[in-house]
Amino acid sequence: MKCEDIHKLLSAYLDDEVNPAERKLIEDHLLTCEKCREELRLIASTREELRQALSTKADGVEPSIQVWSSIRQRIESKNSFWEQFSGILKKPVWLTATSVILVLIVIGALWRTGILPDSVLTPEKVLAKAQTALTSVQSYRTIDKAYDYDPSTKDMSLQVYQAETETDVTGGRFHFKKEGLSIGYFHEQIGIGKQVYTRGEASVTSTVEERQESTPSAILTQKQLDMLVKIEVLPDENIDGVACFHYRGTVDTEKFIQQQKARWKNIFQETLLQEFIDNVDKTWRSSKVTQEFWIGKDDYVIRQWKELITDVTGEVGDSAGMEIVKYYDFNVPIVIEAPLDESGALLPEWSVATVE
Amino acid sequence: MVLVKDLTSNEWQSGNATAFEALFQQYKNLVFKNAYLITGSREEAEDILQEVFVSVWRSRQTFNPDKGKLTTWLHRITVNKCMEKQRKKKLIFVSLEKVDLPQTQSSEEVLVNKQEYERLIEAMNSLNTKHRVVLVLRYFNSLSYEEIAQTVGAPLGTVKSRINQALRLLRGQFNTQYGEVPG
Repeated sequence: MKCEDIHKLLSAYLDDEVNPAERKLIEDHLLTCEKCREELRLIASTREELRQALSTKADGVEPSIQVWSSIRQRIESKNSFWEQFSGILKKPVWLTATSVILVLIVIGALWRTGILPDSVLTPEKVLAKAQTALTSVQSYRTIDKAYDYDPSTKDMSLQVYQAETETDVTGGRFHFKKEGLSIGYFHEQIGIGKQVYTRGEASVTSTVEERQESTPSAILTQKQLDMLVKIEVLPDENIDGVACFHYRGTVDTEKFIQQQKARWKNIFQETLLQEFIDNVDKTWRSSKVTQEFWIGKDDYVIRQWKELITDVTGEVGDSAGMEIVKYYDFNVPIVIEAPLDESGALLPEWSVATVE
Repeated sequence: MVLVKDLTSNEWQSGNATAFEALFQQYKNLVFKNAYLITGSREEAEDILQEVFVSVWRSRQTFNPDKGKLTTWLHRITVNKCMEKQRKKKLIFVSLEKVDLPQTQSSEEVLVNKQEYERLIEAMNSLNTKHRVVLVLRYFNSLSYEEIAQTVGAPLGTVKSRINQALRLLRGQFNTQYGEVPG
């Protein structure tokens, strides 16, 4: 063994973190090598000195007593606006498939009877076509960015999180990564059939639900679209070079609140329910929610979705939030592999669970 | 104050704020000191302490005591927050906390030692965050290499070489700054 190889093992040797074979190699080598004995002495003195230095430096330092009150304030106000209501407008996943199928049946029937001529493209018709177009999507990627109001710039420039998804619809696989930028967290999931691999700060179920909330099929469900009280036509726009219809709808607050109360009743424990419902009422009756859709003019595939929450007058302020989801790479081959090493063992940090 | 040992672990996990405060009181110094040693700044360490416990509260239901120690989980979140903070700084120059010697020293010997320790800490602060993290976990917390691997999410071999590299870099940095080897 060369001296350089021995040097690489010396700190582990001193920390008693080498295996018996390595220990013997090192000790045999040290017997005959003055240079490595000197290196060992230097590393030993550095680590001992460092131990003392770290202990002295940390001795007696304590956080100020205000820290707990800041934490309490933050946990009592739950999360930042968007953390609290992220995904709140989306519906439970089980409705997604059912709604899409029902819509397809109704649209098909209307077309056959000629009630729905193709020549007049209202926003409602385009959004219905967008639902149909999803059946041809075999794979896609998304980037989902959420923003809060930034008091320093007085606009919606404070990015709260960024999530990226790769979905292989036909192969039943997904890859989801989310990074919290304002509070600093990260989680990642890879789903292959019913196996869900996870790392970072999140539970399996919450992340699966979170990921599904920004999928095109969740954004475009009929129930979701039914909550829009009016849909305005905005000038067409290009997204990634694709000409898109551009619409903006305003969410009906009462319908929304009723839907959310019904939804959360199933999810929350009774003790937390009333507190949350009080929050839903208080927050949403004083807010205005709009959603924008960008739908490809040629293929009717959704390219972008944006949700903006302001106060009732449309002003952006402390309680404002915004989420923009961009959809791209439709039907390109996407390879998603389980986080396993060559021997089939899980990579460090990852855990795996089976979901129904 | 309610002590953590008087409360079952799932009380704070199920949202009991009193139990959570007890948890904070019990572990605040551990988290704060680690953050302080890794970042080199009291101010940042207080920010990180706050972020860690807000994060613990928000992900409280994901912690499974059967799968790992609470302290390992706290270490992991602390390290992640320190790395996150570092990423945010990117290319902005980080000023090192200056030598903060007490005004009164009981003996010259203590002063000499303290100065040397401060120099060594300054040298450590000039290493990158990944190296500082493993040094603090090993030589302040006395974690095993396996525990460090779990905390930083790196293979055992990487931890082994990173600690070795960090110690050698530290010595090199110390020699460059002060022209002498500690010890």
